[in-house]
Amino acid sequence: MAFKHGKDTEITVDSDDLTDFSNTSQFDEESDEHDVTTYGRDDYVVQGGLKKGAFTMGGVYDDGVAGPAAVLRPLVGTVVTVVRKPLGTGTGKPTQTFSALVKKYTETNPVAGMITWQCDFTKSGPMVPTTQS
Amino acid sequence: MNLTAVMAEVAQAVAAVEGPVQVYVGAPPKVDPPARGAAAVVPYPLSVEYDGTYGRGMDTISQEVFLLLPRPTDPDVVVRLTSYAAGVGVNSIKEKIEAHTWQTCDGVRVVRADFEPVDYAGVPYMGGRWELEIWGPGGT
Repeated sequence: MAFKHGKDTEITVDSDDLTDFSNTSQFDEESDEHDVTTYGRDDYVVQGGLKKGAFTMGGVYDDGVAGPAAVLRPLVGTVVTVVRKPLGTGTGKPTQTFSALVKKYTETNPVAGMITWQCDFTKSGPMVPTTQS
Repeated sequence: MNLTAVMAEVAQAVAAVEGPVQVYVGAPPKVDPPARGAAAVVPYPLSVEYDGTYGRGMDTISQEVFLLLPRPTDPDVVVRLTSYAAGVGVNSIKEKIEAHTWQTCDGVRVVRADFEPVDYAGVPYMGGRWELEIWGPGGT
């Protein structure tokens, strides 16, 4: 068991590697919640339902043809494959693969800093975890 | 980024200033500025910040440039120093550095400048210090 640093994270969207342009990402999974409380209880009773998820990533803007704007902006509104390696590449390390709707792409231009970008995704279907060989 | 190459290219950009400037890189034991100009020193970087993005995509360098103007009590030092500190103009350090087409990094921003009398190798000068922010690929 060991604590892990985020700097080795790798992310590919629609087969385009955006690792070098990204410095933050977040993957959320949650479940619908159904209230099945009946008479005679003192506490709510709940049951899980359909699962859903969201993924966000962001980083520093690059103006190249392989950069985040060139790759992600045309994908807004489409469902693509996202491959996330939270610990990077290596034997035994995890890979997370899922389909996701490219829901929103944002660029921010501060006067005294780097141009940044962020992209929001909605997970479509399950996230499939695998272990790299 | 290759720090040696970046320092050399910063010196090249500073040398484009028209007011005569003798440029040095590193820590010269002494400087010999032109009589009506300045010595410019590009010292070792203040710091390198790694991992601006995943995968060693981007690093940033904090870098200074010093200008040393001889005879700090001469009345025309004010005119010359302010021409180097101007935001635009043939002597503008900021304009020359930010107009340069960078090869060893992705970009440079001149963040601020400040001024004070200094001694270098025992010789008094009127000094100016420019603070640069440099960004570029981290994995090369």
